[in-house]
Amino acid sequence: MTKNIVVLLMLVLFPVSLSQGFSLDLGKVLEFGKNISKASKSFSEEERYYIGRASGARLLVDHQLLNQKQLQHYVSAIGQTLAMASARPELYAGYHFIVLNEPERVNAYAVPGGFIFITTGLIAKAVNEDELAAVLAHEVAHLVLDHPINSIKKQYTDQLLKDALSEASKEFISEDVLMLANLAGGLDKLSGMLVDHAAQGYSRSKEKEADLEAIHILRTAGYDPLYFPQVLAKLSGIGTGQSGTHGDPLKRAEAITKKLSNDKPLDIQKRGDRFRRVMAKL
Amino acid sequence: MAYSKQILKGSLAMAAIVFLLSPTYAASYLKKGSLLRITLSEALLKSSPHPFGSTLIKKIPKGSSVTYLQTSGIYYRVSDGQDIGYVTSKSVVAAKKFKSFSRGGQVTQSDMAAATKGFSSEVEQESRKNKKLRYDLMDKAEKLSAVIDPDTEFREFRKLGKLGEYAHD
Repeated sequence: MTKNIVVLLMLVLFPVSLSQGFSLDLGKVLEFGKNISKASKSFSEEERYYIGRASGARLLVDHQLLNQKQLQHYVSAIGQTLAMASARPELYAGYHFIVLNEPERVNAYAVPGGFIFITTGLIAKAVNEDELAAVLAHEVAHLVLDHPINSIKKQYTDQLLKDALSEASKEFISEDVLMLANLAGGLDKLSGMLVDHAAQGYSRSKEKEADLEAIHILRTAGYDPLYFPQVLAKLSGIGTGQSGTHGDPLKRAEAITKKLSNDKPLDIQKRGDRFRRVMAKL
Repeated sequence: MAYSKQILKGSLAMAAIVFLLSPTYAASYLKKGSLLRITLSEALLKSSPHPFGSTLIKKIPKGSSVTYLQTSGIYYRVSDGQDIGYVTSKSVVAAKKFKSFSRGGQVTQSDMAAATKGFSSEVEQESRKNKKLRYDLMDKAEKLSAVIDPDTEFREFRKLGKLGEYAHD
């Protein structure tokens, strides 16, 4: 799409330029070329980390952090075990599983850089550790599959191109301060898009991809994936961001149940004991 | 003057095409002996290509080079010149030669900035000026949830819950 726009512009405007006669300021022209080229490249792991932090800073404007070490540690333990079992066990600064003190909100958000936020409202819906693991595995899967970045990449690329071209009528000064301010503005736009996507859910195909990846993660970690469709079925009655606005959770639950037809249920008592101990304080 | 905007836009579009088509970076492909660079703040060099039960040989800091030897699932077997072990494939990129845009042929700071989209700690400092964003809470959240060594820290958790390397015990 980006290259199409550039080619179209060239075809339409270059003849106009030629017919009027013009002198090229090669430095300015190359500077804008760099910006457009930047838009077509992938974000590095380090950039994803800072983008994720910006998204988190935006999210925390109207969400509260939990100030309870035991539950925070428990969720971290489950989440980190799942992350280790995934196809992307390491990120720039590692995974962070953050509990939000929101008993009325049933939601989880995964943003780039490995930050996964989960509300106490959603945690309270789980009946055992394996169900809670299923919820977290699904969020880890979104990060493994790069859904957050891919969901906004096209929007961001088009926006960057529009911004670069809108500078054409102004004097472009490549000063460090101006560059930083522009990049900060870009960070602000990106984080806004990402938080919106995280809250609303992704497309049907992305949710389905994440469901399948989550099953793989759960199995590798040693959790019982049979609880995953149970969680989805439960969340369908709530209409949460976890279930997303795209993809009927009940249909997703049915599809996953078929995939798990050969799995046998596990019963690990010590997991049950520690889950009950932690949840008693919720 | 009436056409000055179109003239500049046409010039920019031409430059963009030239830039995008030009061989900006050296071609990268992976074969034994290829040089890879660590992209994470630190990558774990492990003894075996498994998610659990593998011993940590060392941590390799960002920017360090390792030599690619072979692929094993999501891991690359690499050498850092002293040890041989496994790193996750996502923790490295092929080391590329950077082509300078400056006339003198030297790599300048703006050249380096151009190599990435530019989101960095410096950009975050600028973004922090927006007081509507709660970076203070994000700092706290990151600190509360930070885990330095998940393998060691949660080994007892996995053992008790029959997870990871203890799943089939």
